[in-house]
Amino acid sequence: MAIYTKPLSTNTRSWSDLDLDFVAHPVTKDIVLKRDVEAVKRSIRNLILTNRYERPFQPTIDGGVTRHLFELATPHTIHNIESAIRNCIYNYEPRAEVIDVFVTGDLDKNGFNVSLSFRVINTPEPVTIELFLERLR
Amino acid sequence: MASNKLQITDLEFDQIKSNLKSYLSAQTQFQDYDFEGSGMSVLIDMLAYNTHYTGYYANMLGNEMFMDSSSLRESVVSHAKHLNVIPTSVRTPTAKLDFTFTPAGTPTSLTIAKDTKFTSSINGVSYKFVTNTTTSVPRSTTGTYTATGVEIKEGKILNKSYTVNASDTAQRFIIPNANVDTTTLSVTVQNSSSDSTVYTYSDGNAVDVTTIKGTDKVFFLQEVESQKYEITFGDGAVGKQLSDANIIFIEYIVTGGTLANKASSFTASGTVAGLTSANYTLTTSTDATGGADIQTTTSLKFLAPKLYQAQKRATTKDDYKAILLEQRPDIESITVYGGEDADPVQYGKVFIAVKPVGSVSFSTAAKTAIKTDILKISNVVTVIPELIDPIMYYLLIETTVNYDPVTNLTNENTLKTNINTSIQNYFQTNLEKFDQKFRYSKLVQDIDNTNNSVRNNKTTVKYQQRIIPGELGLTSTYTMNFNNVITEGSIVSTSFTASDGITYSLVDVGGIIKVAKTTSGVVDSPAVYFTLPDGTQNQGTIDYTTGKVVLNNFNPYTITDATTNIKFTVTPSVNNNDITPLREQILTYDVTDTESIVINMVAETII
Repeated sequence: MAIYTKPLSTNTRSWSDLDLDFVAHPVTKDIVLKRDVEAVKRSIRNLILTNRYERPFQPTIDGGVTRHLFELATPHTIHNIESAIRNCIYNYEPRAEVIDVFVTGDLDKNGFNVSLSFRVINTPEPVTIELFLERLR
Repeated sequence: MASNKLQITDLEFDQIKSNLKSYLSAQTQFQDYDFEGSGMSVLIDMLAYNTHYTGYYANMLGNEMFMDSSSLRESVVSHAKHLNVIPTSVRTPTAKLDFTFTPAGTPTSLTIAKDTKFTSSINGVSYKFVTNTTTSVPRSTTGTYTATGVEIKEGKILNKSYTVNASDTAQRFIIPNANVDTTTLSVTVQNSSSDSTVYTYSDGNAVDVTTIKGTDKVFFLQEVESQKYEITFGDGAVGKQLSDANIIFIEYIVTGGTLANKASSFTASGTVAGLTSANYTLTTSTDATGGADIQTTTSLKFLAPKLYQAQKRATTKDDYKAILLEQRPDIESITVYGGEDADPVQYGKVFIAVKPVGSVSFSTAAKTAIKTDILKISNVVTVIPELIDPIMYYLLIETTVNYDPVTNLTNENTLKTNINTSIQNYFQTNLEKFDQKFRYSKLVQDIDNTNNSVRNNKTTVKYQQRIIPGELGLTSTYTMNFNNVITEGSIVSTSFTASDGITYSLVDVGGIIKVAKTTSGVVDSPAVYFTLPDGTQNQGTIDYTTGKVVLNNFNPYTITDATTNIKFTVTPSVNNNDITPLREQILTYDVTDTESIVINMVAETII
């Protein structure tokens, strides 16, 4: 399980994370950081695109979406993806409160549209992430 | 607690990750390391995984660096090599055959060629045997052609050649097969393809390395990867060095090891000495014995330090054990004791009791070979080694098992069979080797644990020694040491006839052994005792405390049960049901004897 060593109740807390795209700052040539809401968005994106058993020694992290892409699309698939995303964020991203997850199948493109609305704690504005999930292989 | 010092003593993934987080908590630039979805977390996972992986690898590497902890065979073999110990290879079972040939005409001699093939079958599985040498069978003065003791070995003769390439410094001469009996390996070296002079090379490991000169034609064998063997040659200082374009020919037998032990019936696959089966008779002189599997790493770990300690010299008891176990992998169990511990005491001797794999005792020829080929070379000159056979004690178990028919999910016969298997497993696991005691409580526990439906068991134990009379009809004195406190009046024997043609058996009458008349295996009542030529009825004595039984001038004429032995059975003292073998004694059971395991089943339903 995740080990959260910092209290989350402080309203002076700011978030800063490494950008795994490793984009260099145009002037300083240093790595650009992801901050605050952007950092949380990136974190959620990472989580829901992680399949179970993908992380070493942490088999339970399961965004649930990639494994569903390799299964038959049934009426349950949309619901399964939705609940997997909710569970994953609930378990592993304490900074976000999910407002809504909206999954629609796009059968012509062999994929799913995911629209995830959440609120970063201590911030009033909801944030929305749009993802189109499709198989790469 | 925040710290800018990284803990480096932990090796588990979670601990390493926790340490990295603790380290990162002292900085402010990347705050999200603590959330599983963050980029930093991915980076930490990767670092922790890498550290864990390296730590694990270092741990395994450390293990393989020492003989005690190494688990790979190649590592154990390599460590043993530093102690000048080469693991014994698989050994081929060897049988001996006798032939009488009736060829057309009167040739001076016949020749049984090398690689003459024979087959034998054990439990429906066929095994191939071959001759490994050429045998000449000369015509006798009476015109017959007889060959005795022709050795055949299980397996297949294979050969291979290598051409030495001096410019290839990495050239290796590896025998390409596994399961090679290295004692059958022969190595010859031809000068070159244009010079057909051939020299035979001998095994350099078999001789003292300090005596090998730079011109001696020797090869050295060592085990390498995948249980294969590599042949190396001298460097010109120790052993003759190979030259460019030399051609090495090797020949060896690949065998199945222990599988064909006890093969006893052989037929030739083709002709023998050029004759078909109509022109010769074939009898088995000695069944196939001596087959052994490759030395295990456990055995190697156990023996290598002892062999190094013994330095190929047999001085202490452990030296004898280590040297013999190394040289004769077909020894299953061995015990050694000095003559000062023998009964009676025999100073200047060392007694070595050996039990071969799959048999009770070695043949006389095998014992002579062990003495001359192994012990004479390594033994201290003033000490006389005596190879002795184990004395077998046969346990007889009678048990009454109470079981619950309700909870028994099988039928009574299946449960009985399973209990029989439990008892046999106990024997095979805990007995049948030197110095292994019979523990009564362990056996009854195993019987109880066979199945949950077994409520309890009442088990009695007897044990039996068998004497084989040297010659029937001649008096002889026999001494049997049961070495345990035995119950008074418990001795009984199987029956035999005496000089008057009447059937008798031996009975115990207050510490005196008497010969009592029997009818259908039961002693007559009232007892009628045989009167010996000296006018007494005392055939021998029995000491209940020491378990020593002496039969004086015992003279059976025939043995009633058509075997070659008379069985003496005693019951150990009630207070002491454990049985302790001494010296060369082995506790075992006779799988063919219906009385060795008797099980009475009692269904006990409790309402």
